[in-house]
Amino acid sequence: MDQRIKARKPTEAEASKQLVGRILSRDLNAEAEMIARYDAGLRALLYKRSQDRCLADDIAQETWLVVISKVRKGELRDSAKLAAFIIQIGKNQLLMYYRKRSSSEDQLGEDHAEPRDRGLTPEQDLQNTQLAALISRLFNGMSQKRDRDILQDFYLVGREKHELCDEFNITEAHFDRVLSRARQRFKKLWEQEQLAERGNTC
Amino acid sequence: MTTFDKDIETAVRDYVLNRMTEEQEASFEEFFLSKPDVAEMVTDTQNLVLALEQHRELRRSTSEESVSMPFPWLGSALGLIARPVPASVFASLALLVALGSFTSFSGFEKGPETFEIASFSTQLVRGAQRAAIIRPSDFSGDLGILIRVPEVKFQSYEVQLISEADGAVVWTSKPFVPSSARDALVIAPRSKISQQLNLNVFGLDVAGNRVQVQFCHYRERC
Repeated sequence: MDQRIKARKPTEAEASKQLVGRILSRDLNAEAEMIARYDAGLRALLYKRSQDRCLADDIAQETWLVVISKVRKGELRDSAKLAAFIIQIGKNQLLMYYRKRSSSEDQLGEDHAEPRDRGLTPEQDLQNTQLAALISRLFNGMSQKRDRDILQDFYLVGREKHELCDEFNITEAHFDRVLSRARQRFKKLWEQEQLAERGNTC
Repeated sequence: MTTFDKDIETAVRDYVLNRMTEEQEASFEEFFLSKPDVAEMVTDTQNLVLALEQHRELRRSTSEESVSMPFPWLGSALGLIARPVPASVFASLALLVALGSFTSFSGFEKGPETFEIASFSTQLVRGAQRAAIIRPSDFSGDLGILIRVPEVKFQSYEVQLISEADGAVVWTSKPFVPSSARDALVIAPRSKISQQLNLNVFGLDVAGNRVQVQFCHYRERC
């Protein structure tokens, strides 16, 4: 009888402890692994709070400097909670950025008394127009009107998956495939667009 | 398996659309932080939703414009973008589209076909602001000027082009109301701009009196 045991994937707590242990023993590869593991998530949650992709990237960079420094100094009390630690530092860095900006605007306000312009800049407006054009291209590449309706109803109207599955008579697995395909196609268009602009987005 | 794994598409959608409670959001962030594939899904969905929203907004504004668009030429300019056009024309049109949120006005009944953006340098002369228009070197079209007023104080505004040689008023815009963003796009016809020109901006008070106001380029503080 085959007694081989499948290697079990470490839990998040175990992976976190291992990484922290290696960083404490000055393993530079562990720091790179930590960033590779958590960076995409960190940027996504910073974008969620700032709605500014460039700012999110900047804050993520600063966050990693602080995280690495603190972990090296042994300031992470529970090594099983590295993810929560990173999230907290990321949120603090963003908060500090906003406080600093608000304070410098107050100082400028005393000198120049200029109210802040809250309208879109022409660059932002142009970027939004380009984004809308990408969706037109995405929709043009979709052979079924149903798929376009699913995207808009799910992401814009906020209708529930089961409701849409019933209406369009498709399974939930099929529904997920429609979303996943659309996302992949959109990502490709987005990347082509950024390449055309030579990645000059920030 | 967590509750999020059961329906990851809905969890990601709810996170991106702010449909989670604070506790759910915190728990979902901790969940996806250690899962680069889910984090990537979140990022891709954030981009997709942003683009879908912009697409919806553009369609809305386009359909409103077709009913009561104050600048009918904007519609034809938008239509041109789908066709190959010379780079300089495209640049003007792209900027024109970008300026959708600006208060725009011009001296045209139908509007210009294309225009080029000019900047201006300002100085104080005997306490009054004087702005000399700097045209693009290969200037040949109508003149687009982007201005910003420090604060919207008047009911409406006017822009004047003044001949530097003799101080005569060459062109006066129709009165316009700036948007809350304080920015305005002025488009003057090419027939009026064959000489060196200065620029003046006036606020019109309730009695219709003109008051000269300070202004700056839309990228500057003033």
